[in-house]
Amino acid sequence: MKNNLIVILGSITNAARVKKLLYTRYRISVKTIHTPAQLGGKGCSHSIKTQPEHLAKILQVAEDMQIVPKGVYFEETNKNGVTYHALS
Amino acid sequence: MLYLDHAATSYQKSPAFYRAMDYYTRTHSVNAGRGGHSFSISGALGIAKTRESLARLFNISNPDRIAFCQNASMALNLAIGGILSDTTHAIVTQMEHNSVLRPVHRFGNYTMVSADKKGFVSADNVARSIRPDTRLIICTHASNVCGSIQPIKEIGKIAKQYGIPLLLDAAQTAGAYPIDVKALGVDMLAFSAHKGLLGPLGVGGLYVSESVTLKPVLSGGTGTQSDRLFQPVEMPELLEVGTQNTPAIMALKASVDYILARTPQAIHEYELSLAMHLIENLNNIPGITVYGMTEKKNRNATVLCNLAGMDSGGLADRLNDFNIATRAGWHCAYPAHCALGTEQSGGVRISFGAFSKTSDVAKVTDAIYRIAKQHR
Repeated sequence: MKNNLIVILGSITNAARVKKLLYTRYRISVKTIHTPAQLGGKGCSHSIKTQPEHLAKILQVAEDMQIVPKGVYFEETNKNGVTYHALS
Repeated sequence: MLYLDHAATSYQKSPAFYRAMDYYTRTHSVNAGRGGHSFSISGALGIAKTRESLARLFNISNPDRIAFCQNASMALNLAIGGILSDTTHAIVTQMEHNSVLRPVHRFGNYTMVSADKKGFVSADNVARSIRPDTRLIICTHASNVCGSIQPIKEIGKIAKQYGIPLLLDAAQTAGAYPIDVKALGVDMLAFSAHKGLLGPLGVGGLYVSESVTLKPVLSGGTGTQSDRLFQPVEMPELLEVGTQNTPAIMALKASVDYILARTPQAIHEYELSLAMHLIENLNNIPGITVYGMTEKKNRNATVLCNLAGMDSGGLADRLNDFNIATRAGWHCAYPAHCALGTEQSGGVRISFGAFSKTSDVAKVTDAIYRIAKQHR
């Protein structure tokens, strides 16, 4: 079973800004992804995906940049497929 | 990187374009048509030559009826805003891009003609939507989602019959499919320089026939009639506001001339052969669904697909891991996805271009096969 953290940030610009600051400030690497269809509505939004332990730092960086995440999810992958659990 | 997102923009250009872009950037980074010095005049003449090449490509009699702007979206806004008002009605189709739907929606009074599951609208349904206050019919030439090519000739006949201008969104077809504005009955044509025309980003254009009078959406400097506070009524100054991207527009001529030599028909046939080969392969991979028109008729080289049980964004991400560029989601055309049955999932769009290789089909097929196999 594998868990990832997905933080929905909306625009690619927001995702890119948060990604950059996470790396420069904490050396945390995240992946920028299309928000999964089950989570993002029909808006073609962007999210970042990384390990769950980085959540607090991600939220801090977002707050510092005055970016309000549109959702935070744990992504669970097991033999049955992928499921998402909302954190907020 | 294997680039298969040509519906977004053409990544590879012709050698002649690269040379022209470099040359004109070095020699003609000037404000064309502003003032009397030789640089400015030379820039204006260069832009005029690009208009002539485009006029030959689209069978337009008067090249000055082509105005350059930033992109096809802007061209569409200039056309739509130049005709519609709060007392007019417009007809659009379910296959339109947001660059049509959003500006039309701002005016509020429109009918969206439904498309079938293959992504086609019927000209009869367009005719049935016409009202006494209809002032504009807008139709995409080819869907940016699934590649379906609409029956423009038939729609053009209907538009002529009712005396309503037809605006063709040729963003997906200009340069990559034969377009004859007279034969199609098109009154306005919006195009991108950077997709099928294999030219620079940041340039687009709008052809406006002599039978259409637009009110200006933008106002500003044109280098002419400086003593007047109204936008000139003559084309192209009516629509060309401010400084143009002179070297890029001049370099576009090299791309258009390349296309004229190779011919849009030959380019279309080549690209389509790649798309049909891919569709045939994808139909043999368990779990893969291809949407829209899966036969050779009335389609271009844009293919939409999904893998069962995998998010479309997830599939595109996995393809990115294979260094293959595609685009997932709803492609700024949500109603089109509703017509195709992909409104919940979106889809992965794979689109070939004039410089795509036959080996690209095998590479992307192999990647999708591996992803699908792992996913089972």
